[in-house]
Amino acid sequence: MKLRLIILISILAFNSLAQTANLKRTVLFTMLPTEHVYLGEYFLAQSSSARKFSCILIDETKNNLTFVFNGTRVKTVPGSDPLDVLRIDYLNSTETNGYKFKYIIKDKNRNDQTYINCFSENFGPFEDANFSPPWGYYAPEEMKQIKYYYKLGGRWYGKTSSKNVMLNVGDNNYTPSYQYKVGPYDFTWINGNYYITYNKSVIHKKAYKDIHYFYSNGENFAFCYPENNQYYFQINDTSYGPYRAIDNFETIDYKTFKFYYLGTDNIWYYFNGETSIKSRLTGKENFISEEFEQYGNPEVFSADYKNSLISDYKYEYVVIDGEAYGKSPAYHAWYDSAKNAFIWSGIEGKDLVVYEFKL
Amino acid sequence: MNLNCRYLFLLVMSRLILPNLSLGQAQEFQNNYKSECAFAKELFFKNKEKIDKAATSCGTNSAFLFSIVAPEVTQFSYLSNKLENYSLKVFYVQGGKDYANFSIGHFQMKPSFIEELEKEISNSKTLSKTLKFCLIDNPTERSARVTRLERLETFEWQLIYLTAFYQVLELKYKNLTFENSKEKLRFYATAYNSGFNKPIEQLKRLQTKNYFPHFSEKKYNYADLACWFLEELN
Repeated sequence: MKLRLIILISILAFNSLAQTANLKRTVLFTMLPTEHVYLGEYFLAQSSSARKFSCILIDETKNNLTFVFNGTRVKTVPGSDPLDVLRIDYLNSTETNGYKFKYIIKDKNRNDQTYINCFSENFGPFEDANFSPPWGYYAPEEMKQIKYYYKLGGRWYGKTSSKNVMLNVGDNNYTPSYQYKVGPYDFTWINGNYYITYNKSVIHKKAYKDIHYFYSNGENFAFCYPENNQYYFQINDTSYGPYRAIDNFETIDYKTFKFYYLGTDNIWYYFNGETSIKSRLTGKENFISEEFEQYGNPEVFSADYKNSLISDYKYEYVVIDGEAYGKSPAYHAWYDSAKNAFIWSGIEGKDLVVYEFKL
Repeated sequence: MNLNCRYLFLLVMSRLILPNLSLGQAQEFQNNYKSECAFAKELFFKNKEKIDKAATSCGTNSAFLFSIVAPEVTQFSYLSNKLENYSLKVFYVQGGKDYANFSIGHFQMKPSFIEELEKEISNSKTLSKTLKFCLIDNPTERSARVTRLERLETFEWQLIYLTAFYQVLELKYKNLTFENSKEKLRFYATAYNSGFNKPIEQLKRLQTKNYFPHFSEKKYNYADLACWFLEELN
């Protein structure tokens, strides 16, 4: 009887050890005692993968924001809201220095000075600066080369690798309707409606109540228009839509274009001409890595659906195939097919951790 | 025109013009968020019985009580509950008050707002008795944060917290007089949306500011929108 019990305990202990051996915990980043990850109203300004972690940290005692890229503190600026002083435009943790951001620092006279950081290179100070063109200016051909836009002496410029291009920004800063245009395509106003013209002759019978973002490079044209409280985007003879709203529209060469639209399900999508990707609202938020957003309790399966991982914020562990693992719930979890492993991220005190469980 | 006359003239003109401007703003909001406004009204009428009961329990009427949160309900509809980021809940439960500033549910209540309410309730002799059931044992513990989130995930508890908020304000501002129920609503709605622990003068100033919704380029006056809902729901 005793022998059986010893064997049973040994088997259980061996199983437990074997399972624990499959589990690897790594601390990706440790915050200072006074720091925490910046939390927007509906999102965390943070992205993580198995070995990399980028985020914006806030230190309320010092009123500082710090941008962290792959575990390295890149820039600290005074301020408490990244929407005001530190906005990330691009983040790719698989690239060396894979980030672009703008930040604002007050000079000795308490005036805002804007700086740009492009892949670790700093530019500025400027009166204002951005990675997207200022309202009222869209130049598809030049866009390809422009790294960022900046304002000096009251005028906007585009920075390319070799020169600074002065931009012809429209007078109306908030309601752009007439953008970049060369050549014979145009639109005209007849009896309360807009019509598309070629060499000043109307070429389409369709009347538009309003036209936004009109582009033409001489051979092509593109524009957005509202109709029956919905929005459409037209490029030459092809019309896309209807959408409840369109935002951040850009055309690169009239074949490649992108924009955000609000779907009938109330969710913003990013559309690149071929595929739609679920997105977050644009415009007012800081950078979010969509890949790592988690909208429900993580429930992940292996490729053959034989193994499962579930997690719930109420419990300080995750459950894999009916067993509890780790010391915290996952805030993001996924199955890595190359490693045949479940991977999940967690926060434990000031440590941002990642667990890996080999199946 | 001397300075006093000019001031009087401006005052009279602003009284004449401002209500129309407010109405225009609310109308524009209603146009831009048509289905969301319809959703808010539908939520009210579908749950009228529950809201009536809640309002009666704190001595007000259901239209007034619901109008405090109605503009937020439009945003709940707009953002859709499924977009609530689960990771925010994990960070709050694990990390505590530093991560308490995000919105949940129909009335878009924040865990930080509930924590503030709990403090107000436990600091008041009267409310700590009448609203004892709102309090959570060991409020700074992880288990309390789990309970808070579980409650916030239900409409019923959001309604309870709304009545608690109303009662806290009734007590906190008992010496404040309002010209009419709309003026009172403007104050209560602003306090709900921007923080009820802000100084009175700041709350009064905020009543005139356009800062809602958080994620929209175009901002509206939260107090105006609440008043518009009051008219619609009455």
